[in-house]
Amino acid sequence: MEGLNPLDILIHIINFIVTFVLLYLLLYKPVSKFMHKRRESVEQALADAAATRAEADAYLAEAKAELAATGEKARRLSHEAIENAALDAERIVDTAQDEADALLQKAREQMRQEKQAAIERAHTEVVGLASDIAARILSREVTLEDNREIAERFFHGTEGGA
Amino acid sequence: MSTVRKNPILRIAPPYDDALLRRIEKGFADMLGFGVQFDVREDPSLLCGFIAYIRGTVYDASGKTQLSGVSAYLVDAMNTPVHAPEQEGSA
Repeated sequence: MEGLNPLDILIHIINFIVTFVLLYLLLYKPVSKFMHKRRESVEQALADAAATRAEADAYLAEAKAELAATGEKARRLSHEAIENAALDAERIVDTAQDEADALLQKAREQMRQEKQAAIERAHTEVVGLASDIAARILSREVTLEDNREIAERFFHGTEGGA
Repeated sequence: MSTVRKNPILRIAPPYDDALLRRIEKGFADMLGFGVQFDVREDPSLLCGFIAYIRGTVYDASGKTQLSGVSAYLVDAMNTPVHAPEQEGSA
Protein backbone atom coordinates (compact mmCIF):
# COMPACT_ATOMS: atom_id res chain seq x y z
CA MET A 1 0.00 0.00 0.00
CA GLU A 2 1.29 3.35 -0.91
CA GLY A 3 1.39 5.90 1.83
CA LEU A 4 -1.40 8.33 2.21
CA ASN A 5 -0.53 11.86 1.34
CA PRO A 6 -1.86 14.36 3.88
CA LEU A 7 -1.89 16.91 1.21
CA ASP A 8 -4.32 14.83 -0.80
CA ILE A 9 -6.44 14.35 2.23
CA LEU A 10 -6.41 18.04 2.86
CA ILE A 11 -7.23 18.77 -0.73
CA HIS A 12 -10.10 16.26 -0.59
CA ILE A 13 -11.33 17.82 2.55
CA ILE A 14 -11.12 21.29 1.11
CA ASN A 15 -12.73 20.00 -2.05
CA PHE A 16 -15.50 18.49 -0.03
CA ILE A 17 -16.03 21.65 1.98
CA VAL A 18 -16.05 23.79 -1.11
CA THR A 19 -18.45 21.43 -2.79
CA PHE A 20 -20.57 21.49 0.29
CA VAL A 21 -20.57 25.26 0.45
CA LEU A 22 -21.26 25.52 -3.23
CA LEU A 23 -24.05 23.04 -2.93
CA TYR A 24 -25.43 24.90 0.02
CA LEU A 25 -25.30 28.19 -1.74
CA LEU A 26 -26.35 27.06 -5.15
CA LEU A 27 -28.75 24.30 -4.32
CA TYR A 28 -29.92 24.18 -0.78
CA LYS A 29 -30.80 27.82 -0.34
CA PRO A 30 -32.73 28.22 -3.59
CA VAL A 31 -34.50 24.95 -3.08
CA SER A 32 -35.26 25.88 0.47
CA LYS A 33 -36.52 29.27 -0.65
CA PHE A 34 -38.58 27.65 -3.32
CA MET A 35 -40.05 25.17 -0.88
CA HIS A 36 -40.81 27.93 1.54
CA LYS A 37 -42.59 29.92 -1.13
CA ARG A 38 -44.44 26.88 -2.16
CA ARG A 39 -45.51 26.15 1.40
CA GLU A 40 -46.69 29.70 1.75
CA SER A 41 -48.75 29.51 -1.45
CA VAL A 42 -50.22 26.20 -0.39
CA GLU A 43 -51.12 27.64 2.99
CA GLN A 44 -52.64 30.68 1.28
CA ALA A 45 -54.64 28.43 -1.01
CA LEU A 46 -55.82 26.42 1.96
CA ALA A 47 -56.79 29.61 3.75
CA ASP A 48 -58.66 30.87 0.69
CA ALA A 49 -60.40 27.55 0.36
CA ALA A 50 -61.39 27.66 4.02
CA ALA A 51 -62.73 31.18 3.59
CA THR A 52 -64.64 30.20 0.49
CA ARG A 53 -66.07 27.22 2.27
CA ALA A 54 -67.10 29.38 5.19
CA GLU A 55 -68.77 31.77 2.78
CA ALA A 56 -70.49 28.88 1.04
CA ASP A 57 -71.67 27.54 4.39
CA ALA A 58 -73.04 30.95 5.24
CA TYR A 59 -74.90 31.13 1.93
CA LEU A 60 -76.19 27.62 2.48
CA ALA A 61 -77.46 28.52 5.95
CA GLU A 62 -79.09 31.66 4.57
CA ALA A 63 -80.71 29.70 1.77
CA LYS A 64 -81.98 27.08 4.22
CA ALA A 65 -83.40 29.79 6.46
CA GLU A 66 -85.09 31.43 3.49
CA LEU A 67 -86.46 28.10 2.34
CA ALA A 68 -87.79 27.38 5.81
CA ALA A 69 -89.41 30.81 5.93
CA THR A 70 -90.93 30.33 2.48
CA GLY A 71 -92.18 26.92 3.45
CA GLU A 72 -93.76 28.36 6.59
CA LYS A 73 -95.36 31.17 4.58
CA ALA A 74 -96.66 28.66 2.05
CA ARG A 75 -98.07 26.51 4.85
CA ARG A 76 -99.73 29.54 6.41
CA LEU A 77 -101.21 30.63 3.09
CA SER A 78 -102.41 27.11 2.46
CA HIS A 79 -104.05 27.03 5.89
CA GLU A 80 -105.73 30.36 5.27
CA ALA A 81 -106.95 29.21 1.86
CA ILE A 82 -108.35 26.02 3.36
CA GLU A 83 -110.06 27.95 6.16
CA ASN A 84 -111.52 30.47 3.72
CA ALA A 85 -112.75 27.69 1.48
CA ALA A 86 -114.35 25.98 4.48
CA LEU A 87 -116.03 29.26 5.50
CA ASP A 88 -117.26 29.82 1.94
CA ALA A 89 -118.58 26.28 1.76
CA GLU A 90 -120.35 26.73 5.09
CA ARG A 91 -121.84 30.00 3.93
CA ILE A 92 -123.05 28.42 0.69
CA VAL A 93 -124.58 25.51 2.56
CA ASP A 94 -126.31 27.86 5.01
CA THR A 95 -127.67 29.98 2.16
CA ALA A 96 -128.89 26.90 0.30
CA GLN A 97 -130.49 25.60 3.49
CA ASP A 98 -132.24 28.93 4.10
CA GLU A 99 -133.50 29.00 0.51
CA ALA A 100 -134.69 25.40 0.78
CA ASP A 101 -136.48 26.20 4.06
CA ALA A 102 -138.13 29.23 2.49
CA LEU A 103 -139.24 27.20 -0.52
CA LEU A 104 -140.60 24.50 1.75
CA GLN A 105 -142.45 27.04 3.86
CA LYS A 106 -143.88 28.67 0.75
CA ALA A 107 -144.96 25.30 -0.63
CA ARG A 108 -146.60 24.39 2.69
CA GLU A 109 -148.44 27.72 2.81
CA GLN A 110 -149.59 27.25 -0.77
CA MET A 111 -150.81 23.75 0.03
CA ARG A 112 -152.63 25.05 3.08
CA GLN A 113 -154.32 27.77 1.06
CA GLU A 114 -155.29 25.35 -1.70
CA LYS A 115 -156.66 22.94 0.87
CA GLN A 116 -158.65 25.70 2.50
CA ALA A 117 -159.98 26.84 -0.88
CA ALA A 118 -160.96 23.26 -1.75
CA ILE A 119 -162.74 22.89 1.60
CA GLU A 120 -164.62 26.15 1.05
CA ARG A 121 -165.61 25.05 -2.44
CA ALA A 122 -166.83 21.75 -1.04
CA HIS A 123 -168.82 23.61 1.64
CA THR A 124 -170.38 25.82 -0.99
CA GLU A 125 -171.28 22.85 -3.15
CA VAL A 126 -172.75 20.93 -0.24
CA VAL A 127 -174.82 23.88 0.87
CA GLY A 128 -175.87 24.48 -2.73
CA LEU A 129 -176.99 20.88 -3.09
CA ALA A 130 -178.87 21.04 0.21
CA SER A 131 -180.48 24.28 -0.88
CA ASP A 132 -181.55 22.74 -4.19
CA ILE A 133 -183.02 19.75 -2.42
CA ALA A 134 -184.81 22.00 0.07
CA ALA A 135 -186.15 24.13 -2.77
CA ARG A 136 -187.52 21.11 -4.60
CA ILE A 137 -189.15 19.75 -1.47
CA LEU A 138 -190.54 23.15 -0.61
CA SER A 139 -192.00 23.74 -4.06
CA ARG A 140 -193.78 20.40 -3.84
CA GLU A 141 -195.01 20.75 -0.26
CA VAL A 142 -196.13 24.41 -0.06
CA THR A 143 -199.92 24.81 0.40
CA LEU A 144 -202.29 27.73 0.12
CA GLU A 145 -202.44 27.85 3.88
CA ASP A 146 -198.63 28.19 4.00
CA ASN A 147 -198.74 31.20 1.68
CA ARG A 148 -201.50 32.77 3.75
CA GLU A 149 -199.46 32.30 6.88
CA ILE A 150 -196.41 33.84 5.20
CA ALA A 151 -198.45 36.89 4.20
CA GLU A 152 -199.87 37.26 7.74
CA ARG A 153 -196.42 37.02 9.29
CA PHE A 154 -195.05 39.56 6.83
CA PHE A 155 -197.71 42.15 7.59
CA HIS A 156 -197.63 41.54 11.37
CA GLY A 157 -193.90 42.00 11.30
CA THR A 158 -194.13 45.23 9.28
CA GLU A 159 -196.85 46.51 11.58
CA GLY A 160 -194.51 46.13 14.53
CA GLY A 161 -191.67 47.87 12.71
CA ALA A 162 -193.74 50.67 11.15
CA MET B 1 -196.72 66.87 -17.93
CA SER B 2 -198.30 63.80 -16.34
CA THR B 3 -196.12 61.05 -14.97
CA VAL B 4 -197.00 57.55 -16.12
CA ARG B 5 -196.93 55.31 -13.12
CA LYS B 6 -196.61 51.62 -13.56
CA ASN B 7 -198.92 49.38 -11.63
CA PRO B 8 -197.32 47.73 -8.64
CA ILE B 9 -196.18 44.23 -9.42
CA LEU B 10 -196.79 41.19 -7.25
CA ARG B 11 -194.82 38.03 -7.93
CA ILE B 12 -196.41 35.19 -5.99
CA ALA B 13 -195.63 31.49 -5.67
CA PRO B 14 -198.47 29.05 -6.24
CA PRO B 15 -200.81 28.03 -4.79
CA TYR B 16 -202.82 31.19 -4.17
CA ASP B 17 -206.34 32.41 -4.58
CA ASP B 18 -208.22 35.68 -4.89
CA ALA B 19 -208.74 35.89 -1.16
CA LEU B 20 -205.02 35.77 -0.59
CA LEU B 21 -204.44 38.42 -3.24
CA ARG B 22 -207.03 40.68 -1.60
CA ARG B 23 -205.44 40.12 1.77
CA ILE B 24 -202.03 41.13 0.39
CA GLU B 25 -203.44 44.24 -1.27
CA LYS B 26 -205.21 45.25 1.96
CA GLY B 27 -202.08 44.65 3.97
CA PHE B 28 -200.03 46.97 1.74
CA ALA B 29 -202.79 49.56 1.66
CA ASP B 30 -202.86 49.66 5.46
CA MET B 31 -199.07 49.73 5.59
CA LEU B 32 -198.52 52.41 2.96
CA GLY B 33 -201.62 54.53 3.43
CA PHE B 34 -202.82 54.33 -0.16
CA GLY B 35 -204.69 51.82 -2.28
CA VAL B 36 -202.71 49.23 -4.18
CA GLN B 37 -203.82 47.21 -7.17
CA PHE B 38 -201.25 44.69 -8.22
CA ASP B 39 -200.22 43.36 -11.56
CA VAL B 40 -200.08 39.73 -10.40
CA ARG B 41 -197.53 37.35 -11.86
CA GLU B 42 -197.24 33.74 -10.80
CA ASP B 43 -193.64 32.76 -10.13
CA PRO B 44 -192.98 29.20 -8.94
CA SER B 45 -189.27 29.96 -8.57
CA LEU B 46 -190.11 31.87 -5.37
CA LEU B 47 -190.95 28.50 -3.76
CA CYS B 48 -193.41 30.14 -1.37
CA GLY B 49 -194.59 33.66 -0.37
CA PHE B 50 -194.36 36.70 -2.64
CA ILE B 51 -192.34 39.73 -3.74
CA ALA B 52 -194.03 43.10 -4.24
CA TYR B 53 -192.62 46.04 -6.21
CA ILE B 54 -194.34 49.29 -5.20
CA ARG B 55 -193.07 52.71 -6.26
CA GLY B 56 -189.44 51.59 -6.50
CA THR B 57 -189.45 49.66 -3.24
CA VAL B 58 -189.17 45.90 -3.06
CA TYR B 59 -191.04 43.98 -0.36
CA ASP B 60 -189.65 40.46 -0.21
CA ALA B 61 -191.51 37.71 1.61
CA SER B 62 -190.40 34.86 -0.60
CA GLY B 63 -189.04 31.51 0.45
CA LYS B 64 -186.34 31.70 -2.21
CA THR B 65 -184.73 34.73 -0.59
CA GLN B 66 -184.94 33.19 2.86
CA LEU B 67 -183.35 30.00 1.59
CA SER B 68 -180.56 31.97 -0.10
CA GLY B 69 -179.91 33.77 3.17
CA VAL B 70 -179.75 30.50 5.09
CA SER B 71 -177.38 29.04 2.48
CA ALA B 72 -175.07 32.03 2.68
CA TYR B 73 -175.15 31.87 6.48
CA LEU B 74 -174.32 28.16 6.42
CA VAL B 75 -171.41 28.61 3.98
CA ASP B 76 -170.01 31.42 6.08
CA ALA B 77 -170.41 29.43 9.28
CA MET B 78 -168.73 26.37 7.80
CA ASN B 79 -165.80 28.39 6.44
CA THR B 80 -165.22 30.32 9.64
CA PRO B 81 -162.56 28.61 11.79
CA VAL B 82 -163.78 27.58 15.21
CA HIS B 83 -161.57 28.50 18.15
CA ALA B 84 -161.67 26.17 21.12
CA PRO B 85 -162.98 27.95 24.21
CA GLU B 86 -160.47 28.57 26.97
CA GLN B 87 -160.80 26.12 29.81
CA GLU B 88 -161.68 27.71 33.09
CA GLY B 89 -159.67 26.96 36.18
CA SER B 90 -156.56 25.93 34.27
CA ALA B 91 -153.50 25.97 36.57
